[in-house]
Amino acid sequence: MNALMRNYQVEGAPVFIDIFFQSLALIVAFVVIGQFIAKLISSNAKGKGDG
Amino acid sequence: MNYTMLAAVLAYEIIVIVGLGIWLQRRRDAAAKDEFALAHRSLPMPVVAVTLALTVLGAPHILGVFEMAWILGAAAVWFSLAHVILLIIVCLGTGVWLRRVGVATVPQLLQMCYGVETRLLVSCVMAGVLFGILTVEAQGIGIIFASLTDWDIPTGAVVGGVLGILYVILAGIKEIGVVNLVNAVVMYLGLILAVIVVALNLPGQDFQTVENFYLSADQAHMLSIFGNTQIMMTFVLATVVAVVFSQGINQMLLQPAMAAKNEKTIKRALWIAAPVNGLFGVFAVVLGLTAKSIPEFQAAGQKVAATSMLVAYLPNWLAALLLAAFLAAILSTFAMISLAVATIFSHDIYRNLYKPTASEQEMTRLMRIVIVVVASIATGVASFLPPILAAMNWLFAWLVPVFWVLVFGLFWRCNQTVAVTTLLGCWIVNTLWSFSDLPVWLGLAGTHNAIVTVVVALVLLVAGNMALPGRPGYLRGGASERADAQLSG
Repeated sequence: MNALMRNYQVEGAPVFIDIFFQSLALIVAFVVIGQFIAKLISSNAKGKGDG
Repeated sequence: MNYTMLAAVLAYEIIVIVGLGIWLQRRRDAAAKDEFALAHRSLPMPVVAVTLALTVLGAPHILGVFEMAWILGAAAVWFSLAHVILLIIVCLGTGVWLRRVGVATVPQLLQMCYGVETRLLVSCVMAGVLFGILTVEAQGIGIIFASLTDWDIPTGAVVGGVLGILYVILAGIKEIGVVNLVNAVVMYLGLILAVIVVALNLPGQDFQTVENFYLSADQAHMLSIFGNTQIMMTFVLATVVAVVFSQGINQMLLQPAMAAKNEKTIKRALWIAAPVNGLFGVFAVVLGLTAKSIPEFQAAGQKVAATSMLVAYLPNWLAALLLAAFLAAILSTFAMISLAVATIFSHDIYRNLYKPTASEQEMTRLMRIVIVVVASIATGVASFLPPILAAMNWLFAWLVPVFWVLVFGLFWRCNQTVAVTTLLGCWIVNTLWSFSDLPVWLGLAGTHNAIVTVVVALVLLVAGNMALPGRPGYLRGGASERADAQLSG
């Protein structure tokens, strides 16, 4: 994971900027994944209900 | 910090809190259903978002993360990221379910699933847990006052307690929400300026020396939010499990969701609540890492290094702004917990057991009394106890089985015997795990209480529901079945 995130580090930027943007990227990723899972569950439930 | 600045901070808090509180109180409809506790279920998206974010952003986020960053490095930011996952669960799961059913408290929904015994059991325990958290928050206010001013902890806790009561007593959840909106701006302004000024005080006027300190000590992992494998497998995993499953069903966090205008409001609020809560940890981590890299503050030790650095580097006006920022974070949590305890007492105990016909005015009056009593006791107790942040693990784990009992009751099967057995079983194991040698005997010393209670809850619920019959889950058709039974009855 560290190696993966190193690709997204800003060359020469202070450590604070890296921590900030890596955290922000994770927050956005978590929210998007959460919404995807919630939609998947609700559409699945709707499908069962319709059936 | 000089007394003029301290007076300015207190004047700001009083003007904002009391001013907005009085304004909202005059505009409210006292007879509207659940106006004080749930704002007549009319809170708009920005208010719901900021209130959700600030409700779970309290003393552990400030004092705890400073200390965690010292030990774990940047991976301490996972304490905040765990709260982001929690907010996702609430905004897309538990909060939406409670809003859909239209209840005022979590125990009320448990009664709809299982029965009145489960409701009473959970309301008593949840109120107790909330009181414990309130004590920690009151102590946190005292410690922060003591760090940034020359007040002692009891004085800071008492002043914070009074401000915390004012934060909610005038107009209930609507007051908390609107004051939170203003305070969130102050909070981030204070944090951003503090980090900039600290950077300007470092050699080279940036964080390069901080980076060099850890790299030269062969501690590069301290600069990565992913730390190392050991940190990810122990601290991160335990924190995510503990935060998500204990807080995901907590009345204090779900009450703003229940007060939202509609389900869509809660789902949209996630996009604001997640970054507002999650990025707070970044600033705390950077300040904690920086304090450790400077020899004079390193000598002060992990508990006070960061606050000592802030006091030394920040000009008086900025120390005052930062105090206002920290107060904003803790007071919002303090107020929301007080309201949550009052709501549980008034709805689950008073109206449910003693006076079903209680009017809205009577309920509001009762809630105000409970808020004052509970907040005063918590403040008084907190002032004279040793630091109790460590008690949070044990405290939060009490709510873990409640989360799973509710999920199973909504989506699988409702059997009150299974629910009560699970709750009691988990609470006994949680207490033994903290106060006996059980973890050592089992060779599991160091395992977080939340992980243990998750395992016990799942085993008991799955085994119990497979062995015993029960009604279908409330959101799987059980609701209509119960409605039919009530009609025919």
